[in-house]
Amino acid sequence: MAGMKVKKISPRQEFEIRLSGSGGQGLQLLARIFAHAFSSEGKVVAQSQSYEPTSRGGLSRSDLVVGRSEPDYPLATNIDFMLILDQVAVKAADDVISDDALVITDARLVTDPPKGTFRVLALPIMETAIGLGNPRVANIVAMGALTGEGNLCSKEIIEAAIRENIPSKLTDLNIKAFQEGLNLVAN
Amino acid sequence: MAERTGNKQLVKGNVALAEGAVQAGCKCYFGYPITPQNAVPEYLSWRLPEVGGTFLQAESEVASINMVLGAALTGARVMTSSSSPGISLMQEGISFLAGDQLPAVIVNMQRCGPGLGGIQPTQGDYFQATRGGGHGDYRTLVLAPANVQELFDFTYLAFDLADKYRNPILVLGDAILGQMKEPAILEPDHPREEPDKSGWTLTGAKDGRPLRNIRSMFLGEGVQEQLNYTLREKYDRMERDEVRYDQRWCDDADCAIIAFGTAARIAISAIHEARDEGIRVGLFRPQTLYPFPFDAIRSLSERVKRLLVLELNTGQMVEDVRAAVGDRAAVGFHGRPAGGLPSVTEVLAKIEEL
Repeated sequence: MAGMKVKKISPRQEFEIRLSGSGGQGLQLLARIFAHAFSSEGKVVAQSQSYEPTSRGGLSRSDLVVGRSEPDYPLATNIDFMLILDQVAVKAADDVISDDALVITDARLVTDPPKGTFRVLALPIMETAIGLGNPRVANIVAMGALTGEGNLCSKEIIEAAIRENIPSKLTDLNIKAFQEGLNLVAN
Repeated sequence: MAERTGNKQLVKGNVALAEGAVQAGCKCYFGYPITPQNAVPEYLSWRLPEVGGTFLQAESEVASINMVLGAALTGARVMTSSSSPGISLMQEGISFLAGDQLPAVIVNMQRCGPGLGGIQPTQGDYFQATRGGGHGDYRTLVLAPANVQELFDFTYLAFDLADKYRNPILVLGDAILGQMKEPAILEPDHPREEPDKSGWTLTGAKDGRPLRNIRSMFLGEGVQEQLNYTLREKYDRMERDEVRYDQRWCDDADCAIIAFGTAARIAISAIHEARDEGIRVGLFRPQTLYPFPFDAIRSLSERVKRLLVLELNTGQMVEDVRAAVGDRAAVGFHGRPAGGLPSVTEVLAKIEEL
């Protein structure tokens, strides 16, 4: 068994996502919406996140391990899809990004993206959110980009999860932000 | 990990255990904040008043555990929760609960030590949990959940066990289990069993019944000795009736991993990987750490000759496993302390070394 590589996707496990950035960027909310969407597709999700002391500014991350049955090992060990919305989060994932992962970063806030064989896509996420009149929806713009480029889930299921998890007066703005995120990767 | 039917929801471990307490009829919670279990008091601060209970944030862990003792004297179902350094502060009170023979539930979401340590997950408190922890010749029954569902189920069960034995019961989790979210059913799978406690509780003797006095100090010749025998008889009953464990894939196994809590989750991933490669590895997961499943592990060691103990510390439960196994099988150990988490690859390499 020496040198045996742990398989990235076993029959029990489908994929791992890390949503990272700095505290206050809405990453835990993003994780909740994703978890809601995957669960409604019948998948089983385990979510872990950074501890309280780091959640007020500084590194914030939330990991989702998604499978067909309860994940054995609930923490991310081989990330397939990663979102980085702040430079502070770049170092935090060095050893757990899968070789063929998709990494989406904010073109402005991440000045020095991680380097590896994985694919890095720098997108104007924050700029798009500001264009929509509210930088706080950058998380949802990113969700659109990740969903579209990673083919993670159907657009309709994510939109339904957004409606379930975001106060109704902000629904329209967030649905629009999600659509703008999809547009960023449409071609 | 056992399959249950019902309405599953994605829920944080700390919240699931708090709801388990509420559904067990917990009426009082006293605690002091500490990472990584703050979601427990946060949840109970609004949830307990909803069911007519009392939530109180005390000025310290020492105050919390003594408030627990006071509430337990009245027969109320009562709980506190903390994390390792806070549980150390509570040890005197836990010893008093044991000496006074009072039911209470204590949750320890372990973080790493020694000293103030850090906030990372660990299983460094195995010795403290299973050997009593405070002074005197006593034990606490220790339940070791490995997932969010068991955090709910075991906390719910802990209240019944506390009343059954009139003894403090410990639920031993860790920073990963408390903070992670996964699907769980927040409904009990059996009705709770709360015995009539009116024969011993301190509720005021206004009705003319004889005065009662609950204490742990007895200076008369041989009286304290007798109390210790009474306690021992109780622990004998726990050892006979309350051993719980989960044993899987052991029938055809050439080797087996023995692990509890989060370490068992890592073990299961490694076992799946190994079996995909044709290496037959089994799992033995103690769900009670005291009483420890000595007999079941002894019998496992008669069939499976290579055992690996996996812990998030530098070797604590392995002492109990070695005591159970003797020279019947080879016992290897792998552990990482203080926030270090063994990777699946690491565990596979250790299996190969066996």
